[in-house]
Amino acid sequence: MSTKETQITKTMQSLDGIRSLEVPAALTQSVMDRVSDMKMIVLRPQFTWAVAASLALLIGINSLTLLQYNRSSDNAKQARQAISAEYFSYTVPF
Amino acid sequence: MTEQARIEELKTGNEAAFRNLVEEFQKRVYNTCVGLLQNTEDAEDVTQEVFVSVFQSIHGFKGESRLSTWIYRIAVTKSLEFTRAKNRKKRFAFVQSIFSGEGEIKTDTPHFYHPGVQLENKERAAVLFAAIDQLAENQKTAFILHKLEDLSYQEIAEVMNVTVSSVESLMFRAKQNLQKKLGDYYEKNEK
Repeated sequence: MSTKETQITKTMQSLDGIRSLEVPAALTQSVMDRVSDMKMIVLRPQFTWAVAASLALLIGINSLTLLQYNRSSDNAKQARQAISAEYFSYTVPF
Repeated sequence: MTEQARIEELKTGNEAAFRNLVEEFQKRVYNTCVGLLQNTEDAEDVTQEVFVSVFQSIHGFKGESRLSTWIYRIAVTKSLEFTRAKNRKKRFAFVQSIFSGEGEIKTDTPHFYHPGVQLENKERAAVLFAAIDQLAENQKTAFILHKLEDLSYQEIAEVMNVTVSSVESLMFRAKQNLQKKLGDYYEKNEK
């Protein structure tokens, strides 16, 4: 076997018997601290659905109110037009 | 406790159950990240990210694979994402240095000396790690999981979501490519 081939074989085998590294001491606590911070803001699926339903309800109520308001403002506009037509009814149109 | 019961307990947000999970899997996750990232500080950060991700997505875990497989999968995905982001940053810095004329930026990463390698193999392992770093992502993942984590081809197939024969082919190509890269390296260094 040539020198190059021997080098390649030895290098390919250099990871044999590799030892697992110990985890840094503070890692578990760092993970737990991050998770505790998150716990307050993480929403579980059932809560997510509740939030989505509430939002849909809120949007629905707002749309209905807006529709109602438009309808009533149409009525007010019609009333105003009727009054002005009545008031100016004595005038002769050009 | 069965794995299913454990998963259900984790889904309730039980902190003690989660701490047990972290303590049981952190060594495997950390070592996988070290192998893929070739940097112990980055591996520590990514290990944290992995467990945060486990905590966030445990509700969506359907139990179609083993918990260990799922955690390995997250570790591999996070490590590869981290490497891609780091490479993007390097490329951006390189392009920026060209346009700003601030002189050349060193793009060669220093050799990685894995602290778990036997002393007499340190130099050779560093050369091998440099070659591993140049492999395609899937070849690199299969090789690291097999060589460092001692996973079987079946387990690697489950983690990577491919067939066993695909893993065999990935390992074959990884070894072939590594031998070629090492050949080039020793040829260049002999001269």
